[in-house]
Amino acid sequence: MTFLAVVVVCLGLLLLPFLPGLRELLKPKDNEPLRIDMNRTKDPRYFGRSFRALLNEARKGRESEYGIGPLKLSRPEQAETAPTLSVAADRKVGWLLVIDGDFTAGEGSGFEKEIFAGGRAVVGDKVALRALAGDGDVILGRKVKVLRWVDALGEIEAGEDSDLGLSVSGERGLSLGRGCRFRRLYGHPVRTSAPDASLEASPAPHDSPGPELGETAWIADATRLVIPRATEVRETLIVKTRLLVNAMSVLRRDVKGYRDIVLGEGVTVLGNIFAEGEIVIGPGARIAGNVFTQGRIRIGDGARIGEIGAEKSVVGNKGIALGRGVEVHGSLSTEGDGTAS
Amino acid sequence: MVVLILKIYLGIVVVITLFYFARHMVFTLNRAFGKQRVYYQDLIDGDLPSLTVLVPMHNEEAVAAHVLERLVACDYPAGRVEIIPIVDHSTDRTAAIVADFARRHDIVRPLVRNEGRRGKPAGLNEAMAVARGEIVVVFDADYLPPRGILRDMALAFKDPEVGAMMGRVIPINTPRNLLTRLLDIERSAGYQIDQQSRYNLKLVPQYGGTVGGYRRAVFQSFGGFDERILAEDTALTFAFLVKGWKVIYANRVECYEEAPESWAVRGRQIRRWARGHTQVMLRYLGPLLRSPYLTSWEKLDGLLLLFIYVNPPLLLLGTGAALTLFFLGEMQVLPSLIFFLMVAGFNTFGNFAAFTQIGMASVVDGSAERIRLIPFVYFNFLFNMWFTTMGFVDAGVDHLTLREISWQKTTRFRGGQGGPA
Repeated sequence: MTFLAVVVVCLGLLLLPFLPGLRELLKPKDNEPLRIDMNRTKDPRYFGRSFRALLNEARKGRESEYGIGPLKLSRPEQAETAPTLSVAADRKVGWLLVIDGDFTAGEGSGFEKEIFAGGRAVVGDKVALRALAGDGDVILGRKVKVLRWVDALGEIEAGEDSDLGLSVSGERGLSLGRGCRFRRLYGHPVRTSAPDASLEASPAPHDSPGPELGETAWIADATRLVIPRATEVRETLIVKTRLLVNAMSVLRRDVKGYRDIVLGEGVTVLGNIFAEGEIVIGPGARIAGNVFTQGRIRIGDGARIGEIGAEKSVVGNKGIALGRGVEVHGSLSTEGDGTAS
Repeated sequence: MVVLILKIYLGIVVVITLFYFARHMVFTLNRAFGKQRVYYQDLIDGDLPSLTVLVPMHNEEAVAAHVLERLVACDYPAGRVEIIPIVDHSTDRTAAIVADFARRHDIVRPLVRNEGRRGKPAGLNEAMAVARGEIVVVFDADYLPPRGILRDMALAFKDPEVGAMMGRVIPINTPRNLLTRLLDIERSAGYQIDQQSRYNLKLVPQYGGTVGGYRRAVFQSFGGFDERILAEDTALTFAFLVKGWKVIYANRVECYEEAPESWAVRGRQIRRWARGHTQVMLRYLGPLLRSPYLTSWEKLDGLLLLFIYVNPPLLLLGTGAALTLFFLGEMQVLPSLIFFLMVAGFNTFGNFAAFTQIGMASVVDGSAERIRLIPFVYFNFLFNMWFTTMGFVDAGVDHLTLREISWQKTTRFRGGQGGPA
């Protein structure tokens, strides 16, 4: 009898770890395949396009109805529709806005839901908004805070010290004021404010070419590879140390660095740049390809990435700092801090 | 004398197991707390490389239409992509299905093989000879590629050092039975933890022969696939690696597959993998250690990867040695505390190290209820140990006798249903 009891207890203990699994097999709570979005395709303007598609579907047959009422997008919403709208300063709006024409938001106003503007959208200083899709130009004032995204078919101007949320994208140009912070930008081109003539004599610290530049001969040692001034390199470069490229050099193929890559003033790279460390692009540099790093990217005054009609990307996992007068034809993306000086 | 040999052998097995345990734990901790390297999916580039998509098919009438429907719907720029279904000695309706797609879509250019050696490596070699793309991408016939996957895969090759890339495989028939549920959580661990950590740590992510791509001309310059090797994917990984090219992993490049639904099919699959992997180990062990392009860490990880299918037979024999010593009353292997701790560690953690990866993968995937099944993985572990050992023995016999090796296709279960979502 005792033996039988011991056997039963042992079997019970042996089975114990399997009981939760047996329950999961018999009454599954988590047995669906992990989800893959089978129709996902890379679209830097995804937010704006999908919002417009939902909006068009919801308003089908009711395009000329104006007022406040329910509107079903991905879920039922309260929406105000109007031919044009001007929101007073400091007013808070807690519903969706669908404006067929021009839209103006006064200083300090706030918008908890998405805004659509069929015409020109002018957003005043210190406005907080969730998302804005504009079919015309979109002008954001100073210190605007975007929680999610902005998308425009026309030009976008972001005022100084604005926080541009997750994404700002446009079909045309996107101009960033000084001190703007961003995660993802897309425009043709994305450009920062022009250098201030009075400040040109004292460039921002990140524009300095670095103490190791200035060498006049090739140096390859355990810590760095230095390419002297005005050198033309015709081969693909894969460098396991720091790579320092002095001013006015031309690199005709791709460049890959295991550590930092520092390009001096006026350097031209006709291929892509990939790095594991920091990438510093000097003032006036021209990069025809993509710029990608697991670290940070600092782009000096007047540098240009991509060309009209040749869309390229700047991807810095840890951050991107843009100097003044920078032009990027395509997209910028970071999981860290993006800033424009 | 026999007891001494058994004790020494057991000691060696314990040390090797603890080594692999440490490796599993490093990968798990790296994925949980370490710095994560991003893939290239955020690149937006108007100038993508030309692509050839190869789909090996041997009697795939149950699945052929599904994979082709998904591939022709992909968003890769027109004129930059071709799809070559390799109809390899098929005796069912596969050729007719493929011909129908070719009639309707210019980008589908079938290659029908009824002569020569059958098998995936031979088919891929023949297809590469007629391929036009700079980059070759391979999908097995049971896969369901999402619309944007080709673009995401091609972006890896903007990096001039990348020779091959590998995406993530996710079973679509997870709910079917216990086996598919166990394979689902094993796959999660293998990709979400193991492959991503290797990518994070700049070690050796593995090209898996499907949902992956490589530079065609470079690989052809290595001589293409050795048609006698059953694990052509592992062979490709090491072929690129020893020549200084990188193989990278893309966690965000996800694709559904059909996991085996019967234990017999799974057993044959494991046996084939073990056999092929052991062939690759014998081929690339020397070149790996001699390669001037690799760091010490890459060589170590490559070595551990090459030996991964040697572990199960070693463990199986180690278990036998331990039982023999136990019944002989000789289990006191070494009278030291350190060795006691090692043996305890071996039993407590070593055997279960892979399970920590499964747990962490479920957490990272946000699908934690399925970890209740982890205890059942132990049975799968024993199952794998047996079939891997058989594959290892097969490879040993292959090596000694130079016998002819024939390719064994994995049975499909879709039965013509459950097509593209």
